[in-house]
Amino acid sequence: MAEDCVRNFRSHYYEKVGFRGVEEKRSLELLLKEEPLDLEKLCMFTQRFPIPALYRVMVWKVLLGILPSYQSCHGAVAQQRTEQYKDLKHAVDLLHLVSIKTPIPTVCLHMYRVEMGLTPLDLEIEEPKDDEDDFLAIASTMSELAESELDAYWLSRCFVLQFNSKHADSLPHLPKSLEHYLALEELRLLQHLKVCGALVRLPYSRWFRRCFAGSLPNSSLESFLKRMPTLLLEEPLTFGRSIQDWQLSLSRNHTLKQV
Amino acid sequence: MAQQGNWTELLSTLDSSDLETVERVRELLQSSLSNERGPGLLNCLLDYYIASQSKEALKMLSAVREPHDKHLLERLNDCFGRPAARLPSLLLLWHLMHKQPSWIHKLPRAPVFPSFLKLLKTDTDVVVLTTGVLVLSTLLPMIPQSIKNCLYDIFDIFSRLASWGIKNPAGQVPDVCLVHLHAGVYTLFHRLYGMYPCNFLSYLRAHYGMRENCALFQEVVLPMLERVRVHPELVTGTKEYEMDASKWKRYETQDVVIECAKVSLDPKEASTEESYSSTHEMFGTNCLPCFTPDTSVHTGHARGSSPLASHGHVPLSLSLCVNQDAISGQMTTEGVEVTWSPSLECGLTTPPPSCGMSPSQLHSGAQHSTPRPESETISPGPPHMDDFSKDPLLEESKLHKLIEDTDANFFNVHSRDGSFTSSATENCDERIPGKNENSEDALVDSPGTVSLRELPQVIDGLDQQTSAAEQEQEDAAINMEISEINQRVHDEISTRGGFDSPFCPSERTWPVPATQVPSASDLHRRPDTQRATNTSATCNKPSTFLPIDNPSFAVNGMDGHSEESTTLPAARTSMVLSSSQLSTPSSSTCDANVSTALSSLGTFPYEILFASALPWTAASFIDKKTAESQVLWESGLEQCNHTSDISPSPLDVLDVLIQRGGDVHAKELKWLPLPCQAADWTHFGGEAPAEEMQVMRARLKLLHAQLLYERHKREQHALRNRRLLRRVIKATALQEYNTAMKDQLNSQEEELRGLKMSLVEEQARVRRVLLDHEHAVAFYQDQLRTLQADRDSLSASNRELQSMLDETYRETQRLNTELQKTNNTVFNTTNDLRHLQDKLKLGQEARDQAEMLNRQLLMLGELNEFCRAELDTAQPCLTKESVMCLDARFQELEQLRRVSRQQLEAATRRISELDSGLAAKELLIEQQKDLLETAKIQAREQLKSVESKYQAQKRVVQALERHLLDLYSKLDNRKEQVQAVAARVSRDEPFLNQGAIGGTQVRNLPDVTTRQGIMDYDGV
Repeated sequence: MAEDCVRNFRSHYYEKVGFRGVEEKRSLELLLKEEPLDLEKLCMFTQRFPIPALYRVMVWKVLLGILPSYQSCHGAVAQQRTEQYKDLKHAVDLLHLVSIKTPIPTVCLHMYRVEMGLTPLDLEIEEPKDDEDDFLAIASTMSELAESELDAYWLSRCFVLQFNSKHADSLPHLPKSLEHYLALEELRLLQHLKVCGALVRLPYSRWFRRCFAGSLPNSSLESFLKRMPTLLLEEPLTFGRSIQDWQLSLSRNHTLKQV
Repeated sequence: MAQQGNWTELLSTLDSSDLETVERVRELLQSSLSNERGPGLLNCLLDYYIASQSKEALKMLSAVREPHDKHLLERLNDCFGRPAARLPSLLLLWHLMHKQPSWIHKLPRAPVFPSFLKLLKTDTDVVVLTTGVLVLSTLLPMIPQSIKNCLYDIFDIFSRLASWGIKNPAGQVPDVCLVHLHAGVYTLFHRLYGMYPCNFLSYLRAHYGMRENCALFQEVVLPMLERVRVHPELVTGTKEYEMDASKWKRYETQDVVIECAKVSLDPKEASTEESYSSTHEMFGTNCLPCFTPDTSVHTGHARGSSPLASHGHVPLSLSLCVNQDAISGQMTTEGVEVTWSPSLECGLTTPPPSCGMSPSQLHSGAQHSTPRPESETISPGPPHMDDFSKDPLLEESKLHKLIEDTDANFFNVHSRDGSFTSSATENCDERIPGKNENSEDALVDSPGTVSLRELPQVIDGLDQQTSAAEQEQEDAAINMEISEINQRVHDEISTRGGFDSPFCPSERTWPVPATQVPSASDLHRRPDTQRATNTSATCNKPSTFLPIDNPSFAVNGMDGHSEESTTLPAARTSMVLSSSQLSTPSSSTCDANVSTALSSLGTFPYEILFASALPWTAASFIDKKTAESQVLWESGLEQCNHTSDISPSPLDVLDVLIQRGGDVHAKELKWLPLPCQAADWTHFGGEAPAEEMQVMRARLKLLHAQLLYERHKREQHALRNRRLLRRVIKATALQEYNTAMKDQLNSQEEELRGLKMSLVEEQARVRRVLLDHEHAVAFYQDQLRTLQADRDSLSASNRELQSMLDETYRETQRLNTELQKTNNTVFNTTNDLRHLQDKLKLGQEARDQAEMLNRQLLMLGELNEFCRAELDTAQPCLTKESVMCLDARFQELEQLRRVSRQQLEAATRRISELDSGLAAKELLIEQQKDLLETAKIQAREQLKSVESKYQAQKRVVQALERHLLDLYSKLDNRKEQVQAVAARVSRDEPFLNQGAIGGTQVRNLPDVTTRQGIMDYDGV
């Protein structure tokens, strides 16, 4: 009881001053101490508060299913993941698909291809496809987010897989819902966009397909990604809405600048 | 001064007979002239020249260079002041101009020029004046634009000197010299009219518009005006433009001379060039009539000793007849082949509207005039044909005859010229080649125009023609023949008489009905030819025939003209001008029309214009005019009658005069007809023969001047000819080049055709190839379509299978989970069951115990009842004892009860203990279950990761195998290639093939295995 009081007192103080992360960090630490990890709680938490960089990769991994919720078997699973990564890397090297100079996103792409059995039959002819571009964009963002190549690969792989399995169906509806939300919340902007004729021409589908990787600067995306993994686990519509909210604010800023 | 003395001495040696000395002195003088700057030597030289008239000094002076020109001109200015020095100065000036020094343009600005003009205005010496006029005429084309300030002075000079023609101012000037002067003035007139037509005409209009000058105009200026055509610039130019330097910049001196000659109608002045070609060709042929009078005179002279010598006019009329033949012949040839346009003639693009002439009209005019000469030619034909049939040249077709008729006439003239040349001056000699050329031109031109290619040949022909020996031979032969013809014709004429003469038929063909009464009034209404015939007829009548100096004939002829001129002088002038505005002077018919028009005052105004518009008629008119006027003037000259209105050209007069002089000096006086000689004597002023020498000297000087002038003209023409020849050569070269280019073009066209053929072939081939290609494409497209359809169907079935697989997989998973759940529940229930059985067993035991205890309690209660009953019964008997026993028993029971209570308590305690133990055990079981669950989840997680790793590894292995297979296939290909090469190289080595087969078998093994492996994976 006493501890609670102290915490509340400090939290009030922190909120006044503006350090909101301190309390959240502690609560996150409490959350992470649980065995097994409560994914729902984590989702709620990440939706509400930004995750500190220290635990971000960890949370990402847990949320994306790279690591199990039981922390006791994290070591064993991580070892398996590492081995899998090494095998893939080795195969990619062996197939001469990559070299030392190849950028990490491309390496990830090749590994992903090999793992999914998507490697083209003729290695010489490579046509850049849209989904590959999307993967590359996501992988580049992830490689900046993660500390090691291993994490980058696993993050981008699982992200793409999860995204494709869960939200691929809702992608075509997103532009309409965007318009809907715009009409609800920012009618002026919508009208302005319509008058300009810019609404039709905005590359929504690409933005949505890549989850804004490569479309928005990484720094701002990062702040968005702090919360995003949670959304991935939720309903696609919520995800889309949050994306749209985010985009809305961004585009509002842009258009206001332009106007 | 000493030096000047030196110079004088030196100069005196200049004319010494020692050639070497002269040469040395000349060199010395020339070097000092070029070194010296001052005027000393020059003045000395000039003085010496004026004093001695030395040729050498003249040469040196005329070669004076630039810095000395000022002094020279100054000195000349001084010399003009002295009457004695005037003539040499003029000659010097002339020589200077001959050299055409670079400083000639300074002359008009130098003081010498005004004084020169002043001299011409004031001097009375006819020799000086004539020389001056000729100098001026020579000078004008050289400096056309710089003399504009003194142009009116020159006009004044012209009018002053022209007036000398009628009123001899000094009175003592011999007429012979006046003829020279008149010729000079005539030349000046040509220059002025040719160069400044507008100014000059306006001056003439102003000056001769005055009444006191009217007579002078009639006498002198009008005849001159009649000898020029209308200058084109009268139409196109203005007074200012004539003076404009820009106009004259385009002309060189010789161009100016030729331009002046072009507007002249006088055959001695006129040019035979360029735009006037059609006319000039005729002029060329028609030169002969101009000369016929002369020659006729000469033949007349030559026959002075013959019995017919007194009938000087007989050959004249004959020559006229020949003239007409020539004209008619020419008209037929020219009229058929030359299309003539007045605009060509004038150099105008449109004909003057006042004329109202259209080409069709013109044409009709031409047609109108052509048949007439034909009839003329044919009708007098027989006698002429007879005459000319002797000529070996004239025995071909009729047309050729006609052509050669003119030609023959030419040769006639030629021969006459030849005879004339033998006794004539250099002047005529010069003309012969020219005429020859003209005749040649006419010959060549008559069938058509000479093309450029033919031109050199023509020139060659000319060269051959002009070879002297041939010419002399020809001349001699033809001369003889002509004299024969003349003789015969004359005989015929004399025997047959006036109207039987060859002219009569021609007269009948005229559409105008003509009375044959030779009255003067009729003469005017008839055509000129008729008049000529009439005159000749009159002359031929033995009764009325008179010698040349017969006044009645002259008066007869003159009266008519004077009458005409006096009655309608203004009209006549206007007519002449209007006709000359058409740039063709009136022809013979026109003349007739003119006279008709004059008498009936313009009944057929258009016909006049038609007739005058025709060049050949115009040309023939000139000839006729010249011939006629020659006749008339000849007689007039004999009578010293200069009042004739239609006077001959002053140049002709001069010619005749010179011939006479030549005759006189050739001591052929005895051949001359006496009246002529007598007329000569009286004509020369009737003075004593003692003064004859002086007159002769003056004439000699005049002749010299004339000669110089003619030489100058000749040089100008030579310059021009050279230029023209250069142009001809250039044109020929261009022609050659043109033909070469044409050949080249032909060959290139050939080449082009070949290329086109090959192009067509190539196109066909390409079309075939394209067709094949299209077929192949269509075939492959069909194949592609079928394959695509196959692929589509396969992929569709694949998708179906995939979906089925997914479904079954999902079903299996569901069933698995269900199974697991049921297993779980079964396991739980068995566990519970076991627990419950244990509990049940324990409860059973406890119940059994409690039952047994209850039963004991029940038995004890019964026993107690029994005992009580027994006690009750036994009480009276067992009072004490029983009471005692009872008590004892009671106590015993109490004790038993206590024990049993303790036992019950212990039993319940035991039950509770057992219950708690059971609960703890259950908790433990729950904990164990949770633990198991987590372990299971963890294991599943691990299993999942391992599974994913395994999947990844499988994929990796697949990829690697695929890669391996790829490599194998590549290797196979390579080996097959190698094998194929090897097989090709050594087909006869079987073991190699075997080895290769073995290799492929070996290689095929891993393929199979890997494929199987892949299939295994796919199955999983």
